[in-house]
Amino acid sequence: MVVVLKSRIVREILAEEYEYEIPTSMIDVVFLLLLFFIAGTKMRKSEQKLDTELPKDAGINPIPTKVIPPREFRIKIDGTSPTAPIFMLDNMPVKDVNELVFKLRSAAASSPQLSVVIVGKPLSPFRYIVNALDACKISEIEDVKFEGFAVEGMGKAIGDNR
Amino acid sequence: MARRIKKVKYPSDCKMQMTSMIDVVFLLLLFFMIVSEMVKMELEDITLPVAQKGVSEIRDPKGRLIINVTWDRYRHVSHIVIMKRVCDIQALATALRNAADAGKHSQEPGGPPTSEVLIKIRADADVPYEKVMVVMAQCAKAYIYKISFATKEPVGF
Repeated sequence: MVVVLKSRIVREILAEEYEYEIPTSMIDVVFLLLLFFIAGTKMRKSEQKLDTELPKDAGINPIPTKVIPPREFRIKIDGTSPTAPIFMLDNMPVKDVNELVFKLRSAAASSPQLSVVIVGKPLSPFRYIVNALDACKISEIEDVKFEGFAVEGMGKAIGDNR
Repeated sequence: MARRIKKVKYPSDCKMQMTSMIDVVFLLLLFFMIVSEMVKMELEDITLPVAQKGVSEIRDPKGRLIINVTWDRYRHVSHIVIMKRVCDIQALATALRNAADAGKHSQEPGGPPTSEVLIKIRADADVPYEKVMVVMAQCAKAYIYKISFATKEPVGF
């Protein structure tokens, strides 16, 4: 009986030794690969947007409208100046975007049906156009149009040159 | 005489079971491999202009077309890029026409049908305004009037 038991114990030991083990070095390799891909993944930055609508009654395919334009302000932007961008509100110079917001707010408070036309010089950096549009949004002016100009190879762009 | 059979106690192995852990790690690896490859095809690496009143989007609207206007500061060259493809004006016009045809339309009495398609213009902050005007003009030409400009939040907000 002891002999039988011993052989059974020996069989169990042998069975244990032949049991398949995942080598620990494989997990090291897999961890390294994982770290590589974690470090290489770029997180997408959340973006925002400013909604606007192009004017339908001007441009290449003007759709005539019967709506009488309300009180209209023109924001002229010249971003080509080497020092600071020049903003003009109804031909009056504005020091910076904060003053533009202040003046637009006052105008919007007195004339609720206010319309704004943004006129930018062709070579002005786009950031100043966005600043003007942002100023309109801060002042809660929804009716914002963009005035176009003759773009090389394109003929007239949207809007009329005034 | 009965012999007492000694019970031999074998030490229990305190081995760590790696089988299920390697499954988890493989899954994580697969996830990061796929995610790193699934870079948004629509978005280019652009320095967006800053706006305070920008609205965050929870979900991308269905059928919206994203047009990137890139700006190379060193060469002073701009490109219009849609889905990783650099487009000239004809290609841009075709893409806008296709987007307008695929989307819904509304029509004012006596006027042509205007498209309800949304266009998002991701233009670099320093790109000359005339380059963006080209895109806007083409949108108007395709009777697409609903556009939005991609912006980023100001630092410190």
